[in-house]
Amino acid sequence: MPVVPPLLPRIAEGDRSAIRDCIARYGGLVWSLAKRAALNDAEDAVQEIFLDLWKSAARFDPNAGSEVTFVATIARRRLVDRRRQRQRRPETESFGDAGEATAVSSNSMAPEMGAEAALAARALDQLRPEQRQVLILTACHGLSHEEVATSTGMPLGTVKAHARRGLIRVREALGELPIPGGPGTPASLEAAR
Amino acid sequence: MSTTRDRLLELLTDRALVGLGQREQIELAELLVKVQDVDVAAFDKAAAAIALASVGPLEKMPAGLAERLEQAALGDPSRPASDYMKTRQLDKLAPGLVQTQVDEILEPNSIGPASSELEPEEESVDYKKTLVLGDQAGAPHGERRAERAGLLTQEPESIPTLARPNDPYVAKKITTSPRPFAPTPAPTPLVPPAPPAGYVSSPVQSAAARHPGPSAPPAPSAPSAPVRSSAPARAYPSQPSGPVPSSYGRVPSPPLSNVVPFPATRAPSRAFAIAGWVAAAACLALAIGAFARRTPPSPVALLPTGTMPSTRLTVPTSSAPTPVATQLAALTPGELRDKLLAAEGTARAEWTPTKDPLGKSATGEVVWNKDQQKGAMRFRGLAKNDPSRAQYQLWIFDKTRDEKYPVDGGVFDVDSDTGDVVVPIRATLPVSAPVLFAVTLERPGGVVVSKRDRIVVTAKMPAG
Repeated sequence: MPVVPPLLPRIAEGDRSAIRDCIARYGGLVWSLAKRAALNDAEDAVQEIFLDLWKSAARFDPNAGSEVTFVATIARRRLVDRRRQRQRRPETESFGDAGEATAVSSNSMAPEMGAEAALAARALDQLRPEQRQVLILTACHGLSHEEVATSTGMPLGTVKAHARRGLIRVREALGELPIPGGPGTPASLEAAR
Repeated sequence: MSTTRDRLLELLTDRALVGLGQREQIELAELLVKVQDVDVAAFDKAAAAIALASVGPLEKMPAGLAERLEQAALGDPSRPASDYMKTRQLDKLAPGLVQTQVDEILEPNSIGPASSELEPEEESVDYKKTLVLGDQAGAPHGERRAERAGLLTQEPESIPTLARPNDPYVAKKITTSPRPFAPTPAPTPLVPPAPPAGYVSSPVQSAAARHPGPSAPPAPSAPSAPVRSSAPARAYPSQPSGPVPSSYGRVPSPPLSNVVPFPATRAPSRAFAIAGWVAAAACLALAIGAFARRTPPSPVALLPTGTMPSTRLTVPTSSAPTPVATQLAALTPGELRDKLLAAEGTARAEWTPTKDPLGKSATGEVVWNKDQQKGAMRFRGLAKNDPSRAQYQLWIFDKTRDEKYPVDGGVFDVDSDTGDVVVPIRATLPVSAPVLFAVTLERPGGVVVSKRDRIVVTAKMPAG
């Protein structure tokens, strides 16, 4: 798999052409994450995420992880933030809508997702199924603990325990194995444009 | 200590997965002062990696949205992108303006609730934003710490201003441009804003002198800081001066006599609460600084860039015995199915098409081994699907579970024109007594709760 140079350093240096390349490379990922998060305003969320990405481009450190993980981290933060804000508004959508709109799938991880994702996938495989499900529902689909409890029938305390223990396990898995500097992502991400 | 650490880990995982409320953010900030050997950013990275690992097939972003993103970012072709970055990196230009994980934890507009949604008693957060986190030399060490820790800080709409002596940004909130690359005022000639009504300028020194804490350093002269004119102003040194207490670790001396204005109209109990905020955050800044300096770089950071392709999928395997499930996972779907069929305790059932046109010609079978909690499906004649529009999803109805909540068996695609595929089952929950397998057509990535309006095939497991 060819290694594609990262784009964020170019953006941080003011390379305007990198903006378009970045949207093309990560647009599909960000859009998919926003859609998985069951946001009715996915387009607004995507714009907010990319805005944050431009702002944070200078903070990307290739030695600390891959660019795609950096992008996903920013995307998740914005999505979590939006969900929390939405949940505080009276017009919060019903859980039924959220549940139907969210997704569960860890079967089809694409290789272009980077080394961290591969390690996470491996760690997820080694988790108890309940832990895996809770982690996927919260980390990928943005469900709250309460929503996970409702959708799976698990007690709320159990959901929280699974989430915490599971994430700690994945974090340990990411930390115990060396991850390359990971400059960039493969061109296959660009195919999603 | 273990209880403290456990609680810290709880909060960090909650923050990474679902976000924290403001009170939890405060608690987290306090705990981070006590426990310094925790890599905060690692939790976010783990959550992001999980999302990447489970996001499934990517959908194409709407073309119109991509165009809008480009236009928003490149609206002014005459302006280089770096202009915007300069604007956003005011902390580099304004000594003391730092964006650290402290800010992120305490910033209600980041992960926690929006400031507009805070409870009334929590509205004093603006005062918290005036925490002093700058260093004596004016270098943006907070950012360096964040970068060193691999922290992916995000910037709130309003960057908290960090009061420093001679700092023109004292108690001023700098609102950044909402649009990238849009014309923005030059960052350097910023001047302090006119104080709002009800405030008067008061030397920091005199404010601090009114409330000299036991360890309060002598405050040097400083530009004005807004304080209430209707009552004596209160000010708190937000960071100690001189040698850092041993409890802070090996942290260089923080800046001196930074003062946070305090609304005198607040009730005394509120004053203490805010003082606690300020003290906790100041300590946290020191603690994180110590952490960043003391914690050796992670193995990740030690690796030179490019020593290993970032996109590799092969990961080192541990020397520990590989669980059966992992061994099976390494098999091809066909091999998995053969192994399961050869194993004891494997049940099998034939697919029965429904009236749905996608499955009307489908045949095949599903096999499931209760002991190994593994299974595989074989289809012939199942219609090919477009993964960008819809995917098949397996549901396993377990006799021991509520029928309303069948176990998700994963999503899959049929990319063969003949519809002849073998698909491994990945149940997200243990299945102890499967009675029915059903395949539905769902949106890309699958769903948590299926409407069951497109059931394509089913397979009823024989009793026993």
